[in-house]
Amino acid sequence: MVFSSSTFLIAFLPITVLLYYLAGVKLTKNIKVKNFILLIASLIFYAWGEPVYIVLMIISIIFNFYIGKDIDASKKAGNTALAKRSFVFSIVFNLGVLGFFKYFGFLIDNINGVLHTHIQAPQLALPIGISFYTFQIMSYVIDLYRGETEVQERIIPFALYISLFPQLIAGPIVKYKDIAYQLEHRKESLNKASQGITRFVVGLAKKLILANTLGAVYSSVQATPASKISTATAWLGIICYTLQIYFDFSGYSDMAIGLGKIFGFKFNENFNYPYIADSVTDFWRRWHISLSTWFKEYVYIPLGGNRKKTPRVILNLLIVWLLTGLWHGAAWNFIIWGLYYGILLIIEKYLLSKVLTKVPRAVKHAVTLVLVIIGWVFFSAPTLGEAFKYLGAMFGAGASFADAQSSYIFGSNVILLIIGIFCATPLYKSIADKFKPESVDRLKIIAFPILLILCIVFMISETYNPFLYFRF
Amino acid sequence: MIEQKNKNNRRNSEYDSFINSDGYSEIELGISDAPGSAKKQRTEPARSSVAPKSKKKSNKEDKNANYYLLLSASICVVIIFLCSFLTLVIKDKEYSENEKRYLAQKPLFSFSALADGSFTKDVESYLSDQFAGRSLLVRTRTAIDIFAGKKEINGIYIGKKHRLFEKPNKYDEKEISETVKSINELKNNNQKIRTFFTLVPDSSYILKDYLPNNVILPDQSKQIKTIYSKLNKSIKTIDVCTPLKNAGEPERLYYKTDHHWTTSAAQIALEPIAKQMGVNISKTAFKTFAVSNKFKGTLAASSGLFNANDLIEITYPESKQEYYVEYVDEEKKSASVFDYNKLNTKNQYEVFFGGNFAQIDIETTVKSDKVLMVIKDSYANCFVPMLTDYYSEIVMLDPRYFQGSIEDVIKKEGVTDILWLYNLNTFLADSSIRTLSE
Repeated sequence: MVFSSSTFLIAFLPITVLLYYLAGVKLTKNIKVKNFILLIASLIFYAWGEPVYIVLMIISIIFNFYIGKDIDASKKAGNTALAKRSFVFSIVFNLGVLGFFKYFGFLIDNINGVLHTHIQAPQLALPIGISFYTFQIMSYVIDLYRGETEVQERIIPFALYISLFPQLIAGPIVKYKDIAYQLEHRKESLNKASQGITRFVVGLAKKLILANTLGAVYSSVQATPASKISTATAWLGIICYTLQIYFDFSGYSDMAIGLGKIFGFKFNENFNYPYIADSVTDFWRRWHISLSTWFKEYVYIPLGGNRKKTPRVILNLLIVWLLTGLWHGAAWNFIIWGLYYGILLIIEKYLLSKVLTKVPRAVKHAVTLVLVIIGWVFFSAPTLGEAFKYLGAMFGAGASFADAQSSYIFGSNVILLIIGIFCATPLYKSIADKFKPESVDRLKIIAFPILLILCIVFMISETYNPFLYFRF
Repeated sequence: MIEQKNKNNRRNSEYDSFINSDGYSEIELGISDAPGSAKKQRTEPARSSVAPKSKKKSNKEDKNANYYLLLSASICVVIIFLCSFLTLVIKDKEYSENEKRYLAQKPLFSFSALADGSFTKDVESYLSDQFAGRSLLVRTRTAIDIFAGKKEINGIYIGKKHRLFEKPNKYDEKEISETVKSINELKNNNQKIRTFFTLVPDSSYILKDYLPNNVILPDQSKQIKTIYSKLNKSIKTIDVCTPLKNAGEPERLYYKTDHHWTTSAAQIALEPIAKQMGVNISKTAFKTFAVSNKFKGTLAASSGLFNANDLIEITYPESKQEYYVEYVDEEKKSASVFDYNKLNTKNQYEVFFGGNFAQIDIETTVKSDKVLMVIKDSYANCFVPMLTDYYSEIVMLDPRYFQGSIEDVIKKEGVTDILWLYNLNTFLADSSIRTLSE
């Protein structure tokens, strides 16, 4: 099920919230009842679109629940060797499942390409959210092994952690230790719920009103052969994609955080206006924060971080960014996209750190944006070859500088672009600061309901709108 | 809190070449946290399982802010529940006139449907098709799009002077050559039958000047010429692009809100077509009547823009020749090529023959040894009524609906002439011609 569907908005969500508040919060006031209701709701949510792969998720949950208990028991008995063995087994299992479903076909394709063999790869659909929930499970097992979190003795809170529907299919990637306490001791409040509802509406609006319409513009550009795209069209198209992917993904995170709040959870923020970053390092502090934090904590630091000598640090960075790219999808363009950032970050750290302090912020911001936009070309193109053709069109190999198509796209989307760019920056806050806080608050009374009605208008007038991040 | 931040900072400075994830804890969400509550929540330790010490600090201003947000959220909740309630209560609609399709109905539950995923899909389409106030919502979207400067809605260009244009279909070399192959085959199998072939351009070619600025579409007359050149030389092609292009008052040639050509355009095309087919129309007096001035066509329906009306005229020969129309599959007969009842429905263009049918036979009292078969799309529907004086029988065949054997029909009716009459846009996308001679 997706958040931006009428099934979710007018059936699943109201029923779940009603049940949760009536049976859990009002009648029994029992966390076990609340967790049970949420777990059942989450399983239905997942099974709705994936009636088969829910079995895989349940197996993962049960396996990791028991291996967690096993690691804990071995550690408490002082048998570190046994704990290590269970830990390694669990990591191999989790990465094995992810690898099989996500990367096996890609691997076989490449083997066939290099060795000219014709091995048949199984045609498997990617289980929704597997990249997200596998990483969540691993955060539990790793932290448990390292002694950074307590073992979870009850299966329902553990299963709820893995399957919690707000962040199940597109993040944020919540680390177990961040949420362990909330799983069994959270409190709902009207204040939190109203923050949650309005935050959900903001996310829904980002997805339905901005991301989907911007995406349609990019698709129309992408449908034109690269050799016929003018420079201006190519830039307009990729700028639309740049905005689309931000609103799509951060909108999803907003919805997840908002829904979590309705049920008394607090998830960490996943985005912080990434497009106002003034360096690539800064961009990655602001983009998909939960993923980069995960890689930092569970890959980069265990590899030695930057306490090692420079060549090893560079190698560590490249490994982390290769994996980051690969996490986004089993294709060469994602690998290149990841390494591209790895190299940019290395250059920034080792070659430019002194220079950058002297460059005006505006210049740094502009350069960063261009670099990020170039990154999205690799990310959005169906193949690596297409990406280079598109880059060619952006940098002068295009049919012309500007043509009728670029004027048409600009003319009919200029308002959308202005709204999109405005909403991707914290500019509205500076504007709001110019008014009395009282009047800003009053404006909110009608602003969110209007936004919600607009969302419904956009949702119903569209029939097909899967989330972009489902691919991962 | 300060302690924790320092700890974070220390940690981050150690690894600052990577990503400093500290930034996010400082995020202020303009929309959510009032200052007091934000601080309170930040005290929840991020990395331990210790109970948070809640520090309640609130002043009057925060309370007001919370109150406003609560009010706003409550309205949102009311909206959502109202949508659920109304969708549940309002009677389901069966058919959407504007979209020309049946709407999804309440799905029946079965375990097999659940297992193969069709049940959940059906629920999804049911809830969006039967959503309360759906058509109002769709119209609102159109209004928003136009306000935002969109010149294209659901593949319809919003042109100047309330003119709507269908986006032309792609010219696909491979598909076209397959279609042409099938047409040539039919000719080869029926060498003796005189075959004529005409493609009519759409309004976006003839009325280019009314397209939105900067919309440049492929040259349809060139595409038509290319297709003509691929046809068997014994098929006589007829150019209607030039006469339509040269006709005065081009606005009258196409409907503003519909993808069809008008009866006036058909009459202009009649001249070169009749000449090529060896029909003398100079002695025929044609009568023209306006039958509707409130026509809102398919382009209005697909775009949701209903702000213009069109005039429908019918033209037919003024003669004493009698005829009757037979709808073969439907086993229905009619005394007129016009079905005036259709003027009371949404799609008034169906006044011509009542719409599209697999096979329509027009038996006339004309003394002629010529039997014409028109293989056609809906463009022919306003054209064929002008031909009833020249053939003893006219067979109209619509490959999109026709399931039988075309050779059988040719033999049975004794067809002597075949006219292919298609709109270019339908022709480019129609795959049914390819299977016609199978």
